[in-house]
Amino acid sequence: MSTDHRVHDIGGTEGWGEVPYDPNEPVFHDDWERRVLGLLFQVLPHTAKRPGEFRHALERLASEDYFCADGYYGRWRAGMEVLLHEYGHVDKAELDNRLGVPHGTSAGYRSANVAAVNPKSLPPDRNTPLPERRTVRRELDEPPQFQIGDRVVAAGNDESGHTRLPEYVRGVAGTVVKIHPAEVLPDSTAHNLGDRPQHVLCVAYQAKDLWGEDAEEDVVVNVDLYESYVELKEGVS
Amino acid sequence: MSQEVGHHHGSDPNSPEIRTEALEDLLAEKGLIDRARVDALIERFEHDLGPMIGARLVAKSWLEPEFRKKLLDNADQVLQDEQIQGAEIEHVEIKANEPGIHNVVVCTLCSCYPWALLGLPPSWYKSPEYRSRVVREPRKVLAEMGLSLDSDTEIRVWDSSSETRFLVLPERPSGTEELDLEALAQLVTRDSMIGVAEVKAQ
Amino acid sequence: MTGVEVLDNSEAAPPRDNGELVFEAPWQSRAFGVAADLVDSGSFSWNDFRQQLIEAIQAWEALEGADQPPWDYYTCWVAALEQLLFSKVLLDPTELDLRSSEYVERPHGHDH
Repeated sequence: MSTDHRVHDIGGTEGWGEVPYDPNEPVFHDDWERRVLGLLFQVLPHTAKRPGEFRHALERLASEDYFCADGYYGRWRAGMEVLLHEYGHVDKAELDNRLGVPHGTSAGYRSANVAAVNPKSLPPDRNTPLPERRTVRRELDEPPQFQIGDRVVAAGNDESGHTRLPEYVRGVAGTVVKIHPAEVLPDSTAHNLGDRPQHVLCVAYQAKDLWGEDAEEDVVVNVDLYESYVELKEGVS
Repeated sequence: MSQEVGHHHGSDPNSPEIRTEALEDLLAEKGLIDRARVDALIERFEHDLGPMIGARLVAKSWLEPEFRKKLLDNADQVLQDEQIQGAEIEHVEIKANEPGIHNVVVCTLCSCYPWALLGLPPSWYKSPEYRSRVVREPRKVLAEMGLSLDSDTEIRVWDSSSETRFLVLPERPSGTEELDLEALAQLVTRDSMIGVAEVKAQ
Repeated sequence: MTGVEVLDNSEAAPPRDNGELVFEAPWQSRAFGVAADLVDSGSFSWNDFRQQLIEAIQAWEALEGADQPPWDYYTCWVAALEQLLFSKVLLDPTELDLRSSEYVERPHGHDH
C-alpha cells in the first residue's frame, strides 16, 4: 500500500485514538460553527458548483488545516478561504488583512494548487440525456461491464486530482455484491472535464485481504467504486 | 405558597414569552393562523425531523413484513411513496441487522451521511478516529463505543464512497411486542441507524 | 410541508438533540408552530424566514459586552417573526406592544 496518502484519504490509517463519542452532543458546539455552515451556502454558488469540487478543495488543504482543532467546520472554513481566492473573489493577502492575521497565514497559502488532471487518464465521456432536476445520476444505455459475483481489482493511479477510490483498496481483489445506479464521475466533474458517467459497483473486501492475517475475524468492508476504477480479475461462472 | 398579585411570570412586556403569546393570539384573531393547525404542527415537528424519519421507517419495517421487504429491495421507491425528500438523498440502501450479521456505516473519504433520514451528522462520525479505524478494526471500535458483539457475528462495514447513502435497519428488541408504531419509533436512535448502537426496549 | 429543513442547512438551524427539536419552554414550541403555520398558509416562505432569522442572529452578534444578552435561539426566532410580519404588513408593531403590555398586567395563575 502506498504511503503517499492524500490528507483526507485516511481509511485504515493507524495511530488514531479513541472515537470521541458523545451520544448527546449538541449540533453546533459554538456559534461560529453555525456561521460557517451559513457562509458555505453563500460561497458555493459562486465558486465550487460541480460535483466533487468542494470536496477536492478540502482534499488539497495542508494537513494542519485539515486536522486542525477546529474540526469539521474549521475544515470547511479553511476550504472556503481557498475557494474564494481561487475564484478571484478575495485575494489571499487581502484575506489576511481582513482577518487581521500575520501576512501569509490564511489557509490559501498552505493548500496545494489545483491539481491538473490529464483528461486522457479519464474514461471517455458518454452522451446521456440530462435529467430534469439537478442530480448526479444519469441513465446509461450500455449495461454494466461487471456482474454480481465478479472478482475485481482497482489499480488506482498516482494522479493528484479528485477521486473517490480509497487508497486502502488499491491492488486488493474484492467481489461485486451489488450494482448501484449510474452517476457522473467525480474524478472528472471536480475538474470540469465533463460528466463521464459510470455504473457504480458495490465491492466487498474481506478484512484479511485488506489488513493481513491479524485482522479481526468475520469483517467485510463494502466500498462503492465507479466502474472505471476496476478491472476484472476473475469472472463469475 | 405566597400570593403574587399582579405579577406575570415575566414582568417584561418585551420578554419573548409574552411576545409569543401576544403574537399568537393576535394572528389567530386576524385569521392568519389556525390554532388547531399550530398544535398539530408542533406535535409533528417535535417528532418528525431528524432521525425520527429514519426511526419511523425502522418501526414500520418491524411491524409490517411487506414494508420491510420493499424497503430492503428498493428504498428509493419507498422514500418517494412516503414523500420523503431532502438533502443528500440520491440513492439510499437499507442494510438489515439480523442474528449473526451487524452493519455499520462510515465515509472514510469525507463524512457523507443520509441527512434527510437522520438529520445532521454527529461530530464523532466526522472524526478522523472513526473514519480511519472503523474500516480496519470495527469490532474494537464498536466495543469502545459501548456495543459488544458476539465473536461469531459478521460485521459488514459500508464505506459511502459514491452518492449512495446507507441506513442500518437495527433488530427489534424483545419486550416490545405490545408497542405501536409511534412508541417503537421513539426507541430507535440515530446511533442504531448508523450501526454503532443497538435499540433497547427501554 | 417539509421545507423547514432549509433552516437546518444554515447558521439559523434550530437546536436539536439526537436530531429532534429541543424546546426549553412551551412558548418556544408555540413560536415554532406559529411560524410553521404562517408558512403553510402562504404568508411567507421558509426562505424568507431564514433570511430574517439570520439577520436577527447577526443583530445579536453585533451587540457588545453588557448590552448583549445571553444567547437564546428562540428569542431571535420571535424577533425575526415579528420583523417579518411587520415588513409584510400582516401585523402592526403598536398592536403587538399594546397586547404584550396587557398580558403583563394579568394576575398570576390565569389560563393560557
